[in-house]
Amino acid sequence: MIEYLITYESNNRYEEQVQEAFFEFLVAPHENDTQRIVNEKNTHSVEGTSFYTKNIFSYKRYCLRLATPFNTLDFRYECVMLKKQDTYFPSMYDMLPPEDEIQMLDSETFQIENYPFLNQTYLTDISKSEVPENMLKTSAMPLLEYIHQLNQRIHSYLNYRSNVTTPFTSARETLIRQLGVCQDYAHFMIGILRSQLIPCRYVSGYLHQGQNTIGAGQMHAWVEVLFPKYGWLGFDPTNNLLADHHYLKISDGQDYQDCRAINGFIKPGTVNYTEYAVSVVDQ
Amino acid sequence: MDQENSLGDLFKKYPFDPQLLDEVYGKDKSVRNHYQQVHQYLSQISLKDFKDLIEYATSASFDQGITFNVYSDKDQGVERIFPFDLFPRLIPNKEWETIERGIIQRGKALNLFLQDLYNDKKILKDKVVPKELIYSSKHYCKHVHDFYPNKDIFVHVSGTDLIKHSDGKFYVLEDNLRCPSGVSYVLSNRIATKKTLPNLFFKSDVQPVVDYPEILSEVLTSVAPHGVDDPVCVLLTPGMYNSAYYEHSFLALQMGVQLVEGRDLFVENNFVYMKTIYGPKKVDVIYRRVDDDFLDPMVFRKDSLLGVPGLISAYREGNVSLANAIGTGVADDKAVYTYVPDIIKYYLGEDPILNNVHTYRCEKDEDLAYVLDNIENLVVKPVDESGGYGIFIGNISSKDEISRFKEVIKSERRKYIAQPIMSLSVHSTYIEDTNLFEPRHIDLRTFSLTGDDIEYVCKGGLTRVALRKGNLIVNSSQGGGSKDTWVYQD
Repeated sequence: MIEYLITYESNNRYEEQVQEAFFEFLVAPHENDTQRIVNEKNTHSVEGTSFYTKNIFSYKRYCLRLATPFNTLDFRYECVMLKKQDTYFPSMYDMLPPEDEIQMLDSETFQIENYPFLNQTYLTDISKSEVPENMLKTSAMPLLEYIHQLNQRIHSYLNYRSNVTTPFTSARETLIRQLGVCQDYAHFMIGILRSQLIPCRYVSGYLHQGQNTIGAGQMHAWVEVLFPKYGWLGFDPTNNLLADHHYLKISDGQDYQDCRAINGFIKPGTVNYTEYAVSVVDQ
Repeated sequence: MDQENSLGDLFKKYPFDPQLLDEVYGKDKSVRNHYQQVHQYLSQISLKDFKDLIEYATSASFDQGITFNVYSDKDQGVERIFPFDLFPRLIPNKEWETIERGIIQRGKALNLFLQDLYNDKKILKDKVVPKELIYSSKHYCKHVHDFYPNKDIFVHVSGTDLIKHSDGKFYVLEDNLRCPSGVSYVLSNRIATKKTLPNLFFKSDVQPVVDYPEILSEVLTSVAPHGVDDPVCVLLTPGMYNSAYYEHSFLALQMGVQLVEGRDLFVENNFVYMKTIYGPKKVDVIYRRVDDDFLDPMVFRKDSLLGVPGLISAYREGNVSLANAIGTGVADDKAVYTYVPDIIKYYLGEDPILNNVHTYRCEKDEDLAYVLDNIENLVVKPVDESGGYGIFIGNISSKDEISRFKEVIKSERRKYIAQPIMSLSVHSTYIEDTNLFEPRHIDLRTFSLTGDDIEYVCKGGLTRVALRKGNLIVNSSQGGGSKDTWVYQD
């Protein structure tokens, strides 16, 4: 087990005074077989009522309702968590033979059960005919091999560039402009996979700093792919890596919209400036 | 001269059209049995008295504020009276029984369908309804995914539109499972009838409609969250600019519940509270007349001020009930409508009691080919609109309009369905411009309620009248009128 200290901090300033607000923070790591929270703390600069809810995919959200007027809101989340260090990553031998894999991916029941992760959203929507030929799966190729290859091809096809895209940049724009941040890499990969009816989901989380990876120091995004009979496995096209013990998952969903770290509603609506910082260190 | 005319004289001038099914007159122009008494009574009224009654009824409606807005009007926001015709539409008890059984059957099946769609999805796995149709529906709502509402009821209030075809049978035109409106007109039309034609009304053995608000209130109470004995129910309205605001305030008043807007509610600890002068009060059941998209800015449209932030989480936690549930729109998608007979068979193992109108789905190649070849004889409708918006009628459109609309269909095939132009029955209706009773096309919107152990169909309904001659679209939002609808007690 590795022990990580995670800090998420956001600072919101509003041009006009906000009278009433409702916020949801999806920033606490998800607890599962590989990761566990030992200790956590939420603090905010404006007094309000706080409570937890679950989102539709059952991830825990911290909610804050504020009824006293404010111009700035500072929010801070801190936790200590334990992460299992896996040295073994599944290989082709852990998967179904390619022909059985294809049969299962093609099955109506499988597709119905995994519809949220097969249905394109406006952020991921690409059709198979738009995808560069060398990024498509051939029928003979085992799924795992294909995903490794795709992860690598996307990594070299796109150029990492901050501040040129927004949370609303679609996979189709990314396909054309070949620029973006981790979120764009993830939407692009998801779009390609779903266009071939391979179930996959968007993952948001933290990346352990000091690993020479892109995206550490901020919220990170990567992709999980559903392997028939095996289950979900994470891939990070931004870094051409597999999601190992340096990847601390918060939540997943159809796309970024399901995994936003801050989701808020303020009255009256006004211009806001948000700054945030993330730190993940092992101790 | 006109002043001395009695309605009896006018009835003689009625331009009977043997091509159409007339509700009042049989093929030989004789008055149908169940209309005898009413026809005879009206015949004795002088035209002058009748006009006075109309004026009285109109001003009474205006005083009560029974108005609505037409979104397509140039004068946006100008309130209009929903024209009300004094000649009631009569339905014999026996005919009504079939309608009622048919509606209850349909409601049961659609409710099971919604439960299944958002949970086990058996009907999709069994390929009775294609999954593509459901997952491409604009109203399929992922926020209801893996979720059963309190008491498992999705559709608490539904408004089923029926027409009587020239073959004498009732057909379901569409199901309205989101926020169907119009029931306040059923109740206020009845009040108007009682005021204007009291002698006739009380002599006739007519089933009451007045129990609707009371049953609605029972339905809401019956679906309260687990453990809440004396639930607080409210009616959530988008506000006074909504076309059905009159209805919202009317129903809230009748049920004795608070009429609230989104800004009156807030969510804390996954419970919903209403702001009151005595402090926050917990709300257990919301009869919402706000569409899904505007209900909670945290999950739906972020720019909406009509909803309550955090509402959907509170709902999924089971701490508040919404009537109707969210996501019901997928079952009143007009393309899904085509599968309702199969849906009834699948869940209930019964044959449908009420017929569907034959429907072509432009998404299917053979159907599209048929629609393009026969568009002159078809009505084409978008699957996700209501209120009669976006409807294209082949036989009254020019060559140019037709060829343009064909392109529209081809570019968005999933969006359009087509139906044969049904010959809606006609009903004698007083037309002010001509001072005559003339045949006008009518339909019937019924209102049914489903609660825990409650199945109710309002015995009556809103008979909508297409006021323009020959027009087949009866929606109030398209400038139609209405009639009181009498269901006879046997």
